[in-house]
Amino acid sequence: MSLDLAFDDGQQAIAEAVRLFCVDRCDDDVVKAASGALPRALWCELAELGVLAVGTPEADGGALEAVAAVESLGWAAFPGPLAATFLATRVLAEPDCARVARGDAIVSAGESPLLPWGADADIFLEIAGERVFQARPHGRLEPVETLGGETWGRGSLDRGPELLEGAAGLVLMRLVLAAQTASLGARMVQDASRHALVRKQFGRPIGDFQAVAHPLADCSMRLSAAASLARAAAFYFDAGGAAQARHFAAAAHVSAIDASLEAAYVCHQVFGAIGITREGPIFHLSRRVRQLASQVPSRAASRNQLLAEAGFSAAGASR
Amino acid sequence: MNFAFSPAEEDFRREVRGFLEEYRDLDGYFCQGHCWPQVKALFQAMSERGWLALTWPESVGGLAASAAYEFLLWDEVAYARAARNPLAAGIVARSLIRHGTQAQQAEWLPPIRSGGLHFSLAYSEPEAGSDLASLRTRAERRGDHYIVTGQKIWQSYAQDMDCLWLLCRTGAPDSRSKGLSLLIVDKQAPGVTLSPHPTLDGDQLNEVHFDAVEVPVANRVGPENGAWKLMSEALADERHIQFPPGRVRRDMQEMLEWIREQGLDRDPVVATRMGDLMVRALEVEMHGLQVLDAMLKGRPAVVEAAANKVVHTVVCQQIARAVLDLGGPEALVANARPAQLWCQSLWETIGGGTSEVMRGVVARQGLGLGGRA
Repeated sequence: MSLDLAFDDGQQAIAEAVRLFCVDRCDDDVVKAASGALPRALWCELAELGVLAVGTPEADGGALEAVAAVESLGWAAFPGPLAATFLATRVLAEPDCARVARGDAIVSAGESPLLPWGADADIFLEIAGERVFQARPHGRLEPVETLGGETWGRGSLDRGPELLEGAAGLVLMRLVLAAQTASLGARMVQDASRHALVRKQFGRPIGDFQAVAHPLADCSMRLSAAASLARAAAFYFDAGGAAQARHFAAAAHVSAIDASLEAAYVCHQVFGAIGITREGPIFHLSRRVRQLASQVPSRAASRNQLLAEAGFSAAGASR
Repeated sequence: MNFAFSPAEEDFRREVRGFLEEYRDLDGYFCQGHCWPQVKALFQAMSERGWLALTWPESVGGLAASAAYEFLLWDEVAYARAARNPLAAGIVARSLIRHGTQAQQAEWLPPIRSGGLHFSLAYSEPEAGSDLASLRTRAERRGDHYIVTGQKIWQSYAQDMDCLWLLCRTGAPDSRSKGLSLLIVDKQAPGVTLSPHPTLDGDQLNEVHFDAVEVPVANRVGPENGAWKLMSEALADERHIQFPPGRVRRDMQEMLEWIREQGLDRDPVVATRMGDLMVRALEVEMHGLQVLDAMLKGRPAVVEAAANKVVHTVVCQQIARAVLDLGGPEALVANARPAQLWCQSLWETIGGGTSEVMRGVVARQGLGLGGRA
């Protein structure tokens, strides 16, 4: 079989089912209103679709199926700890794995002191470099509102046993984060492009002006490469090419963050004044890009992994 | 989904790599003007394996291979820095195969296939660069000849080529793209004169004057005034081998090695920048695969190719720039790779369609925007 960058029929069906679910259950009003605590009911509905179980040993699907689902979720700016959930179902044993896959247990994966979705989470995974440990909060976590509209938790963790599949789980987490972030970036570019077609100034759509059109074109190019890198990582992950999966997942992670953050600036600019209002068409998306870009594992860790692979001795020195 | 090439395709890639071992010192991708006899010998050796006609139909002596093989071939040649794909076996031959008469195919395709006949494109003019349809070089029909008068400029490699693939006006002066024809012009024909414009990478571009040059009507490929469609089609056939990612892969690898040799890899600022560029270089790989994927699926790959051109060439510049920014005076040594890449990569965002034109294609055809103003 030669090169083929399209999802197969099954993966396409997953992407389409999740897309339709999001159109029905997670429109922009829901995303804008989802500030604060995790919308548990919506999360459980997603679990009922089987999406959170894609990474479990019982499921048919692999990383490509996860990416197919997550691209649609990213496009809709679906709230919740998606990448952490795929990490968890990869590394946890039963019964925790099934609880996570059913949506009954919410996962916080990161490093103290600020823990993603910490106020809502039932299961904690501590990420330390390329290792993952089961963990418990040491005492109560203080709820912290974040830029992305997610309530995180401040506190410390008591480290439990190391999870054996941690390194592979982090590869999966990175590629899922990348697919989600790149897709959300592409969504912003689409929305801004549509705006540029209808918003007229000087008697013509602003998208006629190269000063508006070309930055959007640059964003779409970079986001498309980022999405392909995430898919490449997933392909190698499923095909058993561990080193290549690790390599592409790290690159996809950096690429998706850079491309989407750039797209956030460009799209805010295209929307002009309406773009800087709270109820406007872009902030509910851009703030989630910003949030996704600052998760653990960090962008710096992914870049340093690539440097280490290339034999660079300074890897790890710079954040 | 499959990001890998088939075992047979990977075998072919290995065969190409083995073949190129002999040419490892050839720097024809950057400096064809300095080593044309060696590059020509490389093309002739490739032709003995049928590789200049890899995707041509069997009916005209080709191997009828898929675009994936051709992508791998020129990707490896680019990585080896040996040469760029020759225009004769590409745009010229593909136009002849689609639109040439039997007599034209019999005359021109065999020497092209054997690597013995080479062409330079003669498209751009002093007043017609990105806006090619405004070109003015005129061909007047007189019996069984055209009389060609005008001026072309920025022709790469023309000093060494045998023939010119001339785009000229046969219609009314204001006929734009509807009044253009393609002629094969012998470079030795009376009235053709070349003058060089040395370029900052040590090579040269050429200016070509046509002073009442007689060209047989039999050398017109395709219908009179019908060249625009031919050109688009020939370009479309070539998208997967233009700007192969192997060039960027090699740039990245060489510059990482250079940084290490200088002991700069222990500097976190240097490492950070190079790490970010490694990601950009992998983005380039993805764009290359996206073009090929579209071609393999029978799609025109217009947007993919435009995106590939922009990203590939911008990343070439970013890699060279980073090494010059970080490398101190050592990176300034003339003819060493960092300085050479810095000079050479300035060319890349201009030649073969400027970044501005390519961004316009992505904006219009990819995003549905206007973006021409």
